[in-house]
Amino acid sequence: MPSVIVMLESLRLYIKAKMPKSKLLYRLKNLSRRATYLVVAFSATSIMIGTDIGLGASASAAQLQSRSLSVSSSALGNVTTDVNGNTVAAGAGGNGQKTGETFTFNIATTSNLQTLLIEYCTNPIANTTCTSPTGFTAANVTSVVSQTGWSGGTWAIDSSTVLTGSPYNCSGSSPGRTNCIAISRSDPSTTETSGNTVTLGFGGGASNYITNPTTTGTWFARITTYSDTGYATQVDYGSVASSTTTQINITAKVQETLNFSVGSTITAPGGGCTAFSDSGALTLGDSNGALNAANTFYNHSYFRIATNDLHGAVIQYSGNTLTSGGNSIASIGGSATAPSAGTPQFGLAVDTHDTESGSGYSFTSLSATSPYTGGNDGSATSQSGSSGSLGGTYAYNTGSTTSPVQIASSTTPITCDTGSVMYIANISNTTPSGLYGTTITYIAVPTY
Amino acid sequence: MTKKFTLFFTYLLSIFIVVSLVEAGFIGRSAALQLQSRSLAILSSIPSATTTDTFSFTFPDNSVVGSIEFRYCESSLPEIPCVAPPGLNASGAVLQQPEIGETGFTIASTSANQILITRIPTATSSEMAQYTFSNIVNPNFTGSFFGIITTYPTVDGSGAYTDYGGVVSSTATTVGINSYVPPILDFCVGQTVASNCSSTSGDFIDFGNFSPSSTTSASSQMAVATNAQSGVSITTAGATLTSGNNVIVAPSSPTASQVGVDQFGINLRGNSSPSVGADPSGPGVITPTAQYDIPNEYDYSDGSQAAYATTATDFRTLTVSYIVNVSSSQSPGVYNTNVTFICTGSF
Repeated sequence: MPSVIVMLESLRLYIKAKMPKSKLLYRLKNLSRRATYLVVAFSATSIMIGTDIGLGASASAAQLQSRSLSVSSSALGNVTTDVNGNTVAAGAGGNGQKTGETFTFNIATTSNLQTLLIEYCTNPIANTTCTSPTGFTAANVTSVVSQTGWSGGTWAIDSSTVLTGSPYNCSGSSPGRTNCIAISRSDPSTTETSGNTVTLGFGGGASNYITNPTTTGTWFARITTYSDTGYATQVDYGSVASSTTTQINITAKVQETLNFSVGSTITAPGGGCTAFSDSGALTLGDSNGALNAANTFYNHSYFRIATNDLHGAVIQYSGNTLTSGGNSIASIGGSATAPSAGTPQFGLAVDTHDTESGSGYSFTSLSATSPYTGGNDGSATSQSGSSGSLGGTYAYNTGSTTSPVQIASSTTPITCDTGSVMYIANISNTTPSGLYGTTITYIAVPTY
Repeated sequence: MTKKFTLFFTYLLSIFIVVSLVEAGFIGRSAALQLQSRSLAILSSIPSATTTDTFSFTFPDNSVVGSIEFRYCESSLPEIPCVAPPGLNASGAVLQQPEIGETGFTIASTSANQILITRIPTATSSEMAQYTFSNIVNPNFTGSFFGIITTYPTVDGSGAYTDYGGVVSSTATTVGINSYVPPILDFCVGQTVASNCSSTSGDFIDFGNFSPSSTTSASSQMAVATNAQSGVSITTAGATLTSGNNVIVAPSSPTASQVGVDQFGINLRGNSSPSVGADPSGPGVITPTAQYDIPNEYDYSDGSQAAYATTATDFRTLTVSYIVNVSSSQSPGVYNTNVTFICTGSF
C-alpha cells in the first residue's frame, strides 16, 4: 500500500509539469479515478489474501472451520437487574455481568493439541494489537464448564503460564487475565482429527463468569490452538464475533381484579366465569311460599368470585333473620345446628353437596368457614324443597348486620369459584302469621 | 386570625420536620414502593347504599407519612387518570376511631371520590394500618370499583408520593328471601286424639243404661294449636240429653255429681267423683273456662265457652268429662244429643 501511494504522487508531479492547466486537471482527475480503482482493487485483494492466510497468523496455521460463539446474554456488562430492579440470575439472558460462553468449531488440522488461547479484542485479526473491549473481563473464569467432541484429555484453565506481551496480547497476569482465557492439557500423544466438531464452555455461574463489554457493539474472540504446552507452535486459528446490545424492556401492568356476583338462579360459569345476573330473589316455603310447622323448608342462592388476590380473600354475609313487622323467626344460632321442624329457625350454610349439574357448588380455592360448612339438602340438584327431617347443619348470626360474618375464605388467588348457600326456615304453630322477609348481602374482600 | 396563624404554624412545623427527616435520612428514597397486604372491606355491597369502608394495609418501610389519600376510581393504575365510579360519593366521609397502626390522622379534605387524611409527618412502622370511613355511598351499579391508597410525606398530599397501592371491591346483587307464615288453627275432636292432631278416633259415646243409683260417665278429647296472636276460644253447641220431649236437665252452675238427681254436665278437668277425665296436657296455653275448670263439678250450657287462650298457643289436649245422673222418675227412652265444639281464633 505505501508503495502505491508513492507511485501516484509521482504521476501527479509528472502531469503537472507537462500539461496545460485545463488538460492537466482533466487528466489528473481521470488518472485519480483510475488510481482509486487500482487502490481499491489492490486493497480488496490484500484483504482476501489476508483472510486466506490468517492475517498474520503463522504461515502453517489453518483456519478453524464452522466457528461460532454462543453467549448467554448480550446485555451490557453492567446489567444485573431487570426493568423492575429484580436481580437476574447469573447465566440468564438479562445478566450481562455474569455470562457464559460456548465456543464451537471444527478442527482444521489433524494434530496433537496441548494449549489453546482465546483473546477478546476489538478486532479479529491475529497477531495484531488486541485492544480489550471496554468493560469486558474474563478474569472470573475459573474452570472449563463444558467440553465436547475432543479426542484428547480434559482441558483446564491454565493459571500458571504468563501470557502477557507479544504475541499473546493478554492483559493482566495469570490467573486474573482480563481479556484472555488460556487452557491447557498434558496430552502429547492424542491427535485431534481434522473436521471434528468440538466445543468449549466457560462461565455462566455466580462466581465463575465472563463479564460482557459495557458498551454496545461488536467484539471479537481470537482462538488459537497450539501443539505444545508453551503456546509456541500454532496449529489452527480463527476469530468469532459477538455483540452486546440494548435490551428490550417490556413493562405490563396487572391491576387488582375482583369479579364477584350473587344470584338465586344457577347458571354455568363457562370459560369466562360468567357472573350471575338475576334479581337474587328467592322464596322459602311451599308452592304458595308458605311455611308450616311440620316441615323444614330450604332454598339456595349462589355467589361466584374470581380474583387475583395475593394474600387471600374472604366472603362475608350480612343481614337480619326473617322478619315480619315486629315479628321474626329466630336465628338458628351461631353454632352448627341441625334443623328441627316445628321450632322457629332461620339459618344458612354452604351446601357442598349441591353440584347442580356442574354449575352449583364448585370450590377450588375457597373453603367454607365453620360453622357454615354443613349444608346438605340430600340432593345434588334440587334448589328448593321441604323435609320433615332435613339433614345438615346450619348457623346464623344476626350480628352480621353490623359486622359482616365470614362464610368462606381462600388463601390463594381464585380462578372461578361458585358457592352454593343453603337457607333453611322452620316455624312453630305459634309463629305469628305474616309475610316474612330479609335481605342477605354478600361481600368479597380480597387482600393484595 | 388565630386559626390562620395556627395553620401557618402547622405548615411551618411540618416543613421543618420533613426537612429534618430528609437530612436525617428518613426521607429521600428514590422509588415508590407498593403498600402491602392491602384490602378494602365494605360493610354493605348494595349498590347506592350508604356504607362504611375500611382500608387496611401495611407500609413497606419506615418512610415518613404526613398524609394519606384514598381515591375511588374505575382503575387502580395510578398512571391512568382517575374516573370516579358512577354514584360513589365520599364527600361526607367520617374517619372512625380508633385508627389502627399509624394513628393521629384527621380528615383534611373530601370530595366525591377522594379522602385525604393528615397528621404531623412521622416515620411509619411496619405494623398493619387500618382506617375506617363511614358515610360512604356505594357506586350505583353492580360490579367492581377500585381504591388507590397513596402516602405523602407532606401534610396536604402535595409533592411526590411515597408509596401507593390499589385495592378493589365490588357491589353485588343482594339475596332477598321471602316467606309466608299463614294463619294456623289446628283443632281436632274425638273420643281420643293425638296430641298434635295427627290422628283422631271415635265420635260416638254410648252411655248405656242410666241408673238412679249410680252416675254414668264418659269422656272425649280435643286438641288445639294456633298462631292467632289474640288467642282462641272453644265454645259448645248442642242441647242437653233429650228423648222426645223428655230432658235430662243440665245444672245452671258447676255442681257436684249427685246420684238420683237429673244431671247432664261436663267439665275439662281430671275428676275423682266419679273418676273420669284428665287435666289439660301439652305445651299450649289454652285453659278451660272457669265454668268447666272445677274438678268434680259439672255444668253444661249450649253456646258456652269451654276453653280459651288470649295468645297463640301450641298444641294442648283437653279432655271433656261427661256425667249423667237420673232420678227414679226420669221418663224412659233413648236420650241423645250432639255436642259440637267450635274453635275460633282471633288473628
